[in-house]
Amino acid sequence: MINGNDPLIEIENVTILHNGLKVLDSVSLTVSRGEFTAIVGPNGSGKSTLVKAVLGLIKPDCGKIRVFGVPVDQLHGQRSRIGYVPQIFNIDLNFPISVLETVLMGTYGRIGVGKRPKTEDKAAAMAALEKVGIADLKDRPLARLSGGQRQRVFIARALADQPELLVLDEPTTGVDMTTTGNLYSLLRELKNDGVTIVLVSHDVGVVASYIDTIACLNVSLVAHCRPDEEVCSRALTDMYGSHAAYFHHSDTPHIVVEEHPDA
Amino acid sequence: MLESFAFAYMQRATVAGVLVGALCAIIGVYVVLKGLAFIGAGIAHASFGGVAIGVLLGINPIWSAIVFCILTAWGIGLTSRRSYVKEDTAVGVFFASTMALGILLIGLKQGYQVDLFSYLFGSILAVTTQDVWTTVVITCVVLTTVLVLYKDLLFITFDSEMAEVTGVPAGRLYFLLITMMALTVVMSIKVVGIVLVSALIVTPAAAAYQLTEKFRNLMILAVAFGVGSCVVGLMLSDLLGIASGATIVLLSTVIFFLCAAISPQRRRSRPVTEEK
Ligand SMILES: Nc1ncnc2c1ncn2[C@@H]1O[C@H](COP(=O)(O)OP(=O)(O)OP(=O)(O)O)[C@@H](O)[C@H]1O
Ligand SMILES: [Mg+2]
Repeated sequence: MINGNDPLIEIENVTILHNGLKVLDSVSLTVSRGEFTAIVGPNGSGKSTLVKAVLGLIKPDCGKIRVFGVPVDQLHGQRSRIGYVPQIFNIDLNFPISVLETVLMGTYGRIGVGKRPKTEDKAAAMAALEKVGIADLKDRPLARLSGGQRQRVFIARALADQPELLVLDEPTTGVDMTTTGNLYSLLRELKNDGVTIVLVSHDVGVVASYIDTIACLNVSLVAHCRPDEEVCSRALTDMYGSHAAYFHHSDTPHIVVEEHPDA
Repeated sequence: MLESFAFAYMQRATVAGVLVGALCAIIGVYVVLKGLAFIGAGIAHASFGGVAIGVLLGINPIWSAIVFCILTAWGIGLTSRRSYVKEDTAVGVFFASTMALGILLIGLKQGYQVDLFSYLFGSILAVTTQDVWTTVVITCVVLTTVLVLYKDLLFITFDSEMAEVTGVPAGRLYFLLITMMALTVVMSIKVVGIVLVSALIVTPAAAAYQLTEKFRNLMILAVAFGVGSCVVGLMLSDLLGIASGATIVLLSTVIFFLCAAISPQRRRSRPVTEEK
């Protein structure tokens, strides 16, 4: 199918049960180096679960997952090559920490346990904050941000260490339209720099112009295809109903993104 | 009142009080931020079982309590991390069973009621020179660990999942943290007692939390409150002839309410008119 020559993520027959219920059913999916893949599917279709399995946060009941050619549970030091923006944050929103300190944490995996961040690490964190447009908030306590600003902080943290693989689970939840547009153009830049991107999103129409493949998930993998392929639009319509119909009617599916003047 | 400092017991108690106050406050910061207060209480109750084993075997109860508390902490950690049950349920199970074990074992040994009372409620008279040295060593170990692993412990306390994703050994650091918690609990037994130690861990950090939004300042303030409550509490208890542990804990509670009253967080939540 679309599998390139240099696989970065290899998911083989992965099955995951939650409380005895099949959440993922023998899903196989390969993401090549430098590829931009969108994972779509209705609520509860197992997108977050798949992403967490790829990151080694959930162990599959069946099947194998390799990232950078290594089984996920043996990644160790190579984990610092991954950036992740989770869908839900299990954090204390009143935690006494500043914006810059939070973003700096993105570099801790590479720096190593027991070692201090250096000036260049702080510079990298600052650069990431600039990319998401909140450099002016760097000294603000995290507790005193709006929801969307906080989301941008976590995107900056995922970018801080120049990851080779960027995994974003619905990163635009609660983010305003301008910032969403900016984020997507940022993702396009990162893709051009060779970053492999996996994006879980409900608004794939927006990014369709520069994603390489769409993985349609509904417990099992319904389709894995280029966004302009017929199978793809059919799978989307099957899952979402007419909501995804614009894939049918438009040859240039990048309808929404061009509406942002500053994107 | 200061005359009593001439007595060796008061000097020992003061040194132990300063160290224990600092230890509890430092660990307390992680406990408050990571929501481990109930584990702290669980470990404290387990120390009763540990002390009882020492009394029964005729060895220094501090040593048996250290081993027993660390094992209990790991038991709670393993049970909850393997997600057999939730963390607080795991604590609930260990909490009562280790205490019950202690009561059972103590029952086998006759005539230990007096000593037992000092373990339960703390007694400055019970602090021996050996206890002071043990506390010095443990405090140094914990302080060094917290300084060296400052950024890593901060990371797992703030966002354990992200730490794990980026390759920080979140699991091992968590076990290290609860091990240090167990050591802190045992070191505090003589000064404040099993029943009150979890209060000394939580209260100074909770008080400091009212005043700052910076982690570093939180640490420093918590240590100041912890050491302050211990030293002043010991002096007061000696002067008035009242229980040291209770005095220390009540003092730190007073500090907590004072901090809550002047907390800038509270000021912010008042009507906006103030800001104009
Ligand atoms: N910790 C859990 N325990 C039990 N069931 C779970 C757990 N996490 C997820 N599930 C179940 O697994 C299924 C897939 O969940 P998942 O979060 O992967 O969906 P999703 O595709 O990300 O949905 P959404 O679009 O709402 O984010 C759901 O049916 C959910 O109820
Ligand atoms: Mg999800």
